[in-house]
Amino acid sequence: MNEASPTAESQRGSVPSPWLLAGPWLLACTVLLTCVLLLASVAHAAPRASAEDPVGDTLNDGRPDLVRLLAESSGGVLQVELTFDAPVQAPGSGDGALFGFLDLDTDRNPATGGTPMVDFLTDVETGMGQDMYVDLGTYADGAADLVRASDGSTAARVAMTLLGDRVRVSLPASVLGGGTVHTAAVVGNDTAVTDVVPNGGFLASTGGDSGGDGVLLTGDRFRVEVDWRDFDGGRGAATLAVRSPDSAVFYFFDENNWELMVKVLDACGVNGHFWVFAAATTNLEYTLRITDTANGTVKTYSNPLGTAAAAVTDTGAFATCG
Amino acid sequence: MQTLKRRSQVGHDAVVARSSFFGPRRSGLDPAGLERASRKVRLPQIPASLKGAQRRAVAAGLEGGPQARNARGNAANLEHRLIERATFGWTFAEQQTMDALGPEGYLERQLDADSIDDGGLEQVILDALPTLSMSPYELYLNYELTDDQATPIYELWTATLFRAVYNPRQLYERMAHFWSDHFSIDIASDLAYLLKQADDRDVARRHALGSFPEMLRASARSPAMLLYLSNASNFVGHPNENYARELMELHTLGVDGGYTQEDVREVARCFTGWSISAEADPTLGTFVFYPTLHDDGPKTVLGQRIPAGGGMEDGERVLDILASHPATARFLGRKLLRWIWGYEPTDRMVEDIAAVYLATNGDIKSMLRSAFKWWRMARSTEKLKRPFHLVTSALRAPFAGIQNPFFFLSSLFACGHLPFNWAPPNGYPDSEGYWSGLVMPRWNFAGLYTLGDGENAAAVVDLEALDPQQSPDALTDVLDLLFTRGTLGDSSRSAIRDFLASRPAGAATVRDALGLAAASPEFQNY
Repeated sequence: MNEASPTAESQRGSVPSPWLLAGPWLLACTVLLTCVLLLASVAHAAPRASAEDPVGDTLNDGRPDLVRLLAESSGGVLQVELTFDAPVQAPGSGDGALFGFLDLDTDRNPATGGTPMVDFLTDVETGMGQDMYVDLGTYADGAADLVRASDGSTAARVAMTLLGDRVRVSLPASVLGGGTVHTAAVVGNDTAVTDVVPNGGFLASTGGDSGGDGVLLTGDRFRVEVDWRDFDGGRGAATLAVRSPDSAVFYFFDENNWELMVKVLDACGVNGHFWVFAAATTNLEYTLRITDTANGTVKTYSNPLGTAAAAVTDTGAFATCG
Repeated sequence: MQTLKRRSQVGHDAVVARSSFFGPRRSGLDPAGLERASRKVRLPQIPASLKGAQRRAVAAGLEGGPQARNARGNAANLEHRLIERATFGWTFAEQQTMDALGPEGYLERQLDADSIDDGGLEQVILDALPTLSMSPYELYLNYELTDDQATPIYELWTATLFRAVYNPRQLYERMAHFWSDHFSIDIASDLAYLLKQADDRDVARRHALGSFPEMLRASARSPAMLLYLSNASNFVGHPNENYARELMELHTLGVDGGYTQEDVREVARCFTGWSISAEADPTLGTFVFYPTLHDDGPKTVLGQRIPAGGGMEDGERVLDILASHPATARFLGRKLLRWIWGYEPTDRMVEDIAAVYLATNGDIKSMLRSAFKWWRMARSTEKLKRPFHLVTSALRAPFAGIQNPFFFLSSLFACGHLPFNWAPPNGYPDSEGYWSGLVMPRWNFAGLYTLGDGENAAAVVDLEALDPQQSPDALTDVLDLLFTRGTLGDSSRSAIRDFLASRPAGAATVRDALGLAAASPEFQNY
């Protein structure tokens, strides 16, 4: 049986806010293709993902006007960048200054955490459970509050950079807990909310493990990365669903639909090798790539599209015990 | 100096000799007296226009049924929170106003309280409860001489309850409540039952949304405050530092505001002679300055020199210094944020509000505008309703008509939250820790407040509007909407639904179920 195409996240909450329907956005939405492209641009978990937002779709023609949300994972840091149609004023700098929130669902579970700021402040539904958020309005000295949703306390001050028409927030993976993070943003000025991105659902991006992209297993020595392709040509990097020190389970496009389990075992005391075991429940194409970060050795396992995945039981995977 | 002392002693003795006012007094909080008062005090009749508007709003709100909460998006949103923080409880009528005006318009309307038509409520209250308008002398003639301390207290409590529940000027009422705690006076203290009415009129209610410095001046001249904090007997040569200390610790700078014991002494000197009239004439119980009892020497307060010979101006100068002090701005900013925003505002938030205070010379509306900013309220944290808030919100939710204030006052007594009855001068605590242990009295109140019918009921609810014959599921939705705007959790909904299903359909069952909704965990917070 073919897997569903990876649109589940985009479809959730795709009903736009009545507020957002007002004004220029209404015109934009009449061009259905625009909407489709918009929703399709809500990328799945990947080291780099973005969601575009039409120019002029703000509430009550207000400013600031968001045009893109970009998340990029690198070196153990998730960089989230908000792009506007024009330069924005620093938060707290008087009338017209930027205020807003970046919602973070770090466990990708809508049933845990609080109501995201996007949902709280607008009629847009993200389908997220807010575990943390960045309060852009607390910007000062190059940093802003990263707040725990559970009790409103400040978990950390995270780097925030104003770059004219862009605002970049740097979120250490160590604070986010690693793995994929679901994000959405809502902004406004001193007096009112003006825009959200995405206009429904969330942006999924790899939050970055402590050692960089992918998932580090077995003493954080082996980096595990999985890329997939579906029958419609959709592609993406698999998202970590759950893990133990030696094992990881991934999903491709639906967090409730786990696809692949991988484990790397230290069997140096048995046969002088690290073993790789994997089992998938999919007929989609995937490439499993495991790197021994101690010496750069790479092992790759693939499953062709349309083929029921076979189990991997490679007890000679890495002869790198030395 | 010797002359001053001698003169002050003479003046002090003379004042004391003319009146028995400064001696220990009997408390007006005599349960039997209050019970007697409850039987003779007239009940304010809620104006028909207010009743009609509220009932129409409930009917319209329920018309959409359970879908109503989804029609406007998420059940919990900024509008809901803003209403909850600005009022003594969300209602459909408030939501209608919010829908019409939007968050900013709603807030501005509430800030411009005089522009809101109260439907004649205040006049109804004043007509029914005549002691509210009486001078201390009138109260003295009518109640002190007839040994009835309870009636003035009972009437003030009743008015406070009615205003909080029914006055459409809700933010004004919330702030009057806030300032009553800030300038707290225990109505059970000496003679407060004669003086608190004027204090309530002239301090908290007159300036609730006005200027803090002006409210501070009004409080400093309030006979109730002068007596409660002993400044009425603060004379040269016989200083009493009580008011001076609390003025800085509780009313302005805060305990960490940077003042010293020397400042306390100097401020006390500045306020010598600020007292109350003890003459048995219409001036009785009004503010009076006794120049001969004032310490006219030079003083230094918080490093600022106050020259000799200032007379009453010394005290005014102190109030100016304190009202314009940055520590006062921070102290009030933090306290106001705790009231409006949540228990633990960040230092940055406090600094923001303090800056507004200093920039506007203590304009309370400006501070509230800042506290209610959308980006601030979005981040606000849940608060536990204090008992008074629980009682008022439980009455507001189904628009219950109070028939027996004594029941509600008794419930507040059981919860330890009778208005104006906190003995220390720091006001009732605004903290979860203090109030969270009082679960049983809260449940007892919720379980009883809608019971009975006709004249026996503590409060009357228009049960027909709730359609008691509906299915348990439908009625659960109705109560969920009425009490929490559809934010009851599954556990609370199940409890209400199971109860409704286990009893015969009808008014009596719905009355009990109203109590369950009011006792639900979700309704305890706002």
